[in-house]
Formats: sequence, structure tokens, C-alpha cells
Amino acid sequence: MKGTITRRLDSVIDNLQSEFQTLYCKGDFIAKMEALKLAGNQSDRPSKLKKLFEMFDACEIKYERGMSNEYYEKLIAKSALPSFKDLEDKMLIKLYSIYERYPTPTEYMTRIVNRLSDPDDHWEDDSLQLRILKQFIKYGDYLSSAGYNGRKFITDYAKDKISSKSLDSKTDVVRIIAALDDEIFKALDTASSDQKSPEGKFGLLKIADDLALGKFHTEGSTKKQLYLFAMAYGMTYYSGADDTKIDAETDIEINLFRDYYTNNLMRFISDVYKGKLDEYELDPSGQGINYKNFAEMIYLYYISQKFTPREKIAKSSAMIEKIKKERRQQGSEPSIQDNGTETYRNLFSEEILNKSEAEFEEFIKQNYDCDTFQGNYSRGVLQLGTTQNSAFKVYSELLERLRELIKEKEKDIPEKSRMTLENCNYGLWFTDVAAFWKYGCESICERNPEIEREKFAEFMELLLAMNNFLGYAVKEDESTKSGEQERAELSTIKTKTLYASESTVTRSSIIVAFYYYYNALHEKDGQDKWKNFGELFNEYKRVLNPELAKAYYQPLSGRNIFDLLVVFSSYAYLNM
Amino acid sequence: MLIKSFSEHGFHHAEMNQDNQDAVYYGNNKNFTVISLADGVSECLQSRTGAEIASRASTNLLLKHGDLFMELDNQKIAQIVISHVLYELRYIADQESKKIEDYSSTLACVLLDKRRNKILCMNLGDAIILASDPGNCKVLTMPYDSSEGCCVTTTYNAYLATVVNFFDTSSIDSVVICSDGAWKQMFQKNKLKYEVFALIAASKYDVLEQFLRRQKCFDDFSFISLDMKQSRKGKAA
Repeated sequence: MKGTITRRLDSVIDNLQSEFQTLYCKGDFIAKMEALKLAGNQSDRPSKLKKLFEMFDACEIKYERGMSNEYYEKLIAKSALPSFKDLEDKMLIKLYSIYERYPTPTEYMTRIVNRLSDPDDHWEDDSLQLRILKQFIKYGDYLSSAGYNGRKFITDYAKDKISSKSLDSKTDVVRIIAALDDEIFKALDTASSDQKSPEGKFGLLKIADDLALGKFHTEGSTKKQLYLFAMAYGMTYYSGADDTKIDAETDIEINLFRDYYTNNLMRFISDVYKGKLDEYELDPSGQGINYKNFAEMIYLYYISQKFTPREKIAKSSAMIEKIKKERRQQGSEPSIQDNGTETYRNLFSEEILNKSEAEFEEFIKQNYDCDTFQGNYSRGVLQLGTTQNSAFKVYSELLERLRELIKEKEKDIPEKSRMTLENCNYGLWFTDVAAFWKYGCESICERNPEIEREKFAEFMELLLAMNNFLGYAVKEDESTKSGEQERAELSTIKTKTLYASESTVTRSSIIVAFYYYYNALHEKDGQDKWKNFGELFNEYKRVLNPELAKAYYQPLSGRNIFDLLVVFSSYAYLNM
Repeated sequence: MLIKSFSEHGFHHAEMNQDNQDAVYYGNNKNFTVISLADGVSECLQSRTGAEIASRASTNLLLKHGDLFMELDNQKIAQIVISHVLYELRYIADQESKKIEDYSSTLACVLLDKRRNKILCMNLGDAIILASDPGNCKVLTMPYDSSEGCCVTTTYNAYLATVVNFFDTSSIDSVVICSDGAWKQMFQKNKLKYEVFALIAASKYDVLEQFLRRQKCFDDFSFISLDMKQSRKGKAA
């Protein structure tokens, strides 16, 4: 039995693009018609005709088969098809309707917690923060062994709540949990940043709060939180062993790295735009598990073992600390060389997961860089092995192809007016971002009263933020500069994502680089004007996914609104 | 060639007085054997019929054109099989004046090429295909992540969500396709339960049936297995 249905494509991974099957404008039909005429009576005429018929069907235009080109041309001419401008409204509304359905990080986390909680605990009516906190207390022993503080504060809070002086944090866990309520989190409102650090008085409250709200932090602390969460909730790791399958409900990679990343990328982009980035990390990399990092491998090893959550948390934390200390005592011995992600991915096999703890520890020491004190600089364990050589190679090659392409295309244009990588900064193409900046989204809301204004404004804010992420938007304010001066200034504003380094390259930088490359490659060849959005999305997947795979990033997905908007923008760029 | 199929009502459908919506089918000729399993979408009014059509149409097509399918690339195979199933579904939907979506189901098939000692596994949706490798049990194709909906025969471009793989049968004793109702009883999170592992590794599908019958299954639960040991023994003799 399936709980969900078939043609509700919007909810199915990678089929989101089909929402746009009916977004044909008059130009799409004319382009298809041109393709048909060019085909003449050659063998590809039937396939071109089939495509045209599909478009007629999608737009509910009645037609007859087996007619001449002139018949179809006339039919297109007399049909009330929208212009691209009309389509722009329709596109925005359609994209907005999809945006509306994307879960917030909290909704998303609620789903995971609902799935993985033990129903016998009966915490389902509690807030998400409280449920996660209770899980950490009951199944993770307050995360004390992972360096989190909060046991005393929580026990005192419970004592106060039930007016009992004799509550023991270890033996009275059930009574303590029963006494907890949402008020406990109020302590975070006035807490100092020291108190909110893992070792601080409210460390445990903070991690529960962060996870519930989907906040992500710098220096690998979010990753540590995710691994602890995975252990407390009994999540699984798919190692590729013969008798295992990816369990979509419990798999750490799907649930915490793929979906969490997707959610947080959009939040990140919005937060950059709103200037709220102080405590958040830069652009989630999209890499997921870092197979070069020794601490992450230890977490995965214990996630895969048959221990209780409490044991997994304690044992993994102890092994990480032990190896870190031992390595520190060795002093300035040369660190183990980074052999590239691929080597490490292949190294971490099922066979490794079957090793005893002592053997595994030895394996880690011999194969991974565990040196957190290089020179005078101390790093967190999850910051080791973060250079992404493979990803940077893919990224650099893409940029090189883009540079070459621009050089070739612009060779006959005077040097002064030539396009360069520096002025690949036009951002999103399917909507007039500058106009929205100036006039807001009132007019579109007036034309479409069913739209909830506040939510739509939030969506437009995301689009503006994405536009900044992808390039640069001209603000239509009064200017004292001449057009020439403005153009010169604009051309020097660089798209930040096109200037990444080994340590800052991310999945989104590769997608943005590809976006400019693809647009430059196809803007004049006409081929892509004959594609509808669904076809273009598939073409992006066909060409870009192997590059993303080489960089160890997740493939392009209709489930990721960032991906969708970038390809949509390309579609608009090639058609406008 | 020993084929065993088993399909049983889950208690949810039994209580609702609904049909079992899983369908299994197989076919055999001199050079090829095909087994298939389709699981109808409960919300669809004709899902039982849809599952039967999908499993029968795919089996017959693969059996009839086995040589061709062994030569094609994976995506083309998925495209041909799915479009053939859709053709059959559309035909019946038109006859009955119903929507094609009413006939939606998942679909998983295994085509055995006896001469080449190869199998082709095709999986659209959330069934699983397992194989017995003497003393071992391995996953050949995994179920689709259905947490946010599952791709089925009537999904737009369903062939893109269809997994197709080829395997050499020299080290495979048997293969089994299990519906989600069945495999959910056989796995503990992401790992096969030990007793199930042992049963499949030894190709003991009668005992697997008994195991499944002892479980309380919410969903319909079915499997169809193809034991190749028999024919191998025959050949050796």
C-alpha cells in the first residue's frame, strides 16, 4: 500500500520539474515549429511532431494529427498563448506555490523525531525542543560523555518544579523528564554565549534548541550535533554491505546530510541577505559525510555497531579524545598526507566496520590526519580534512571552460566591451529583481488575490537573496553617475561564488559556475530554445550530475529549491 | 527452474474489506524466465487491476524480447518496459472509461537469460530484489525512498526513476522480489534480520513464507522467487 499518490509529482524527488510542463509560451511553440520545419521530411520529424502534440495537449489546444506545417503554424498563431512576460507572473506564482510546500527546518526535524521516537515514551505532545532534550537525557545520559553540560541545571529545574530535594540525575531520570516543560528554554534568552557553549551551564539546552530550529554553526559544531542526534535516535549508516539497504527512515546521510543541507542552504541564503550571518557558517558545502575526517569516521563506526545510544555516544567521544590527546603528545611529527576523498571513501568499507574497537582505533591512527595542533594553531576535530581537492578541481575546470568559452565568443568584440568572468554577475534571469527591489511585490499580489502577501514577500526576499548569491542586481535608485560609469562599476562587481578556494568551494559554487557556463554555451545556438523547462532540467542533470558526482556532492534534485531556481533562471535566460 | 510466489492480505486491507493489491506473475520459455511483482497504490480505485496488468505486461514483453533487452542500455530498457505497461494501462482505462492514474502500481521484474547466465533486474518503486549467493544474501536493487511519495507506473517520466541492473548468475543461487509489506518485516532498520538472511542465503523460500505468515503485517505482503540451482544441477548432470 502506498500512502501517497502517483501524479502528485511535486512531492516526488526529481520530478518537480513536471510542474512546469504546461508553462509554454507562444515563443516555445514558435521555436518548436521552427525545429519541425528544419527537420523537413527527415527521420526526426515524427519525434518533433510528437513533442509539438504534447505541448498542444498540455495547453489543451485541440488539433488534428497528420496535417501540414502551415496548419500547425496557423493554429499556433490563432491560439491565445501567453507571452513570456505573462509567463513570468505564472512562473513566479508556480514557484511560490512550490516554495510554500517546502518544509521549514522545524517541520522537517519534527518529522524525523516523530519517526524515530519510541512511542512508549509518550512525548508526542511536547514541543520539538523538549522532545529532543528528553531524548538526549534518557538515551544519551545528558550527552555528558560528549562534553555537554546541563545535567545540574536540568536536575535543579526538575527539583524546583516538583518541590523535591532528592532527585538524582542518574537514578531519577524518569521523574526528571516528567517534570520538564518548555519554560526551561527561557534560560537561553538571557544566557551569555559562554553559558550557551557545550561546556556552559545551558550547553544541553542549546543543542536541543539549535537542532529543533535547524540552526547551524561554525567550526564543525553542527556536524557534531548531528552525529550525536543520530546516535541518540538510533539512526543508521549504509556501508554498502551485501545484506543492507538504505533505510530511508533512519539513514543518516539521507535525513541529516542531504535534507538538512537542502533546508539550511536556503536559510543560509536568506540569512546572508538579511545580514544575519554572524554566528552561522558560510554556505553549507553540500558534501555530507567527510570521509577524510577521523572523528566523523569514528562516529560512523559507532553508529554502525550494536551498542546502546548511550554507549555509542560515550565510546565515540572517548575514542576521539584519546586519539586527539595521543597525537598531541607525539608533537610535531609530520601529519598523514591527504590522499584525496576518493581514497578515503574506498578505504572506509564494510570490512572496517567489522573490526574490533582496538583494531579500528589503530586503523584510524594509521590512516587519518588526527593532528588538531598544527603549528601554533589549534583546530576542532571536525575541521580536519576539510579541503576539498576533488571538488575544487571540478570547479576550476568548469571556470576554465567558461573563461575559454567567453574568450572565444568575444574575440571579435573590442576589448573594452568584452564580457569576462568578472562580469558574469547577472544573477537570476526569470524575474526583474531590480523592479521588485524598487516596487515590492504588491502588484503581483493585487493581480492574484489568493496569494498570502506575507508569505509571498518572504519568497520574494528569498529570490532577491538568491539573486545576490548568483550575481548582482542593479538598484534602481537615483544615480549621479553616467551610464558608462555605472556599467564600468557593475562590470567589476564579482559574483562571490565564482571566486571560491579549496576550502570554500561548495556544491552551490559548482552549480553557479555551471549556470554561467551553460548559458554562455547555449545562448545563441538556438538548441535550448527548443527545450521546455522539463527537458532543460533533465539536460542540466545529464551534464552537471557527473561533475557533482566527481566532486562528491549530491546530484541536482527537484527537491532542492535552489537547484530548481537556478535551472529555471537558465530556462528564462535562454528563452528571453 | 523453481518459482515460488506468495501473496497475502495485510490486516489493513483485510479490515477495510479491500482486495490484496499486490500482484505477482511469471513466465518461462526455452531461453528466458521472468518473474515480476507489482504493488497497487491503495488510493487508486483500480490498483489491483493495474498491478495485475503491469506485472503481466512487463513479464510477457521481457519474455518475448529477451534477447533485445539483454543488449539495450539501462535507460532504454526502462523506457520501453514502462511505455509498454502504460500502453496496456491506457487501453484498459479507455475501455473502462477511467483515468489511467486509477491503475497505478509499482513494478519490479527479473529477467533470467539462461544462455548468457545473466539476469536483468528492473525496479520502479519500493520493492526490493535480493539474491542468494551461496552462504550469503545480497541486495540487488534497493527500494526507492518512498518517504515523500513513491514513483509508480503512471508517474511522469517514470523510467527516469526506474533502476535497471545486470548481474552475472554464476554465483547466484536464487533471486527474490519482495513487496514493501514483506521486506519491512524482513529488515531491522537497514539490515536484514539474521534469520531472514539465513533463509535467503539457503534459498529456503517455503520457510520464508512461514516466517512472513507469523508476522503481523499492516500492508499486503508478497514475494516471488526464482531458484536457479535446480536448472544448474540439471545442466551439470
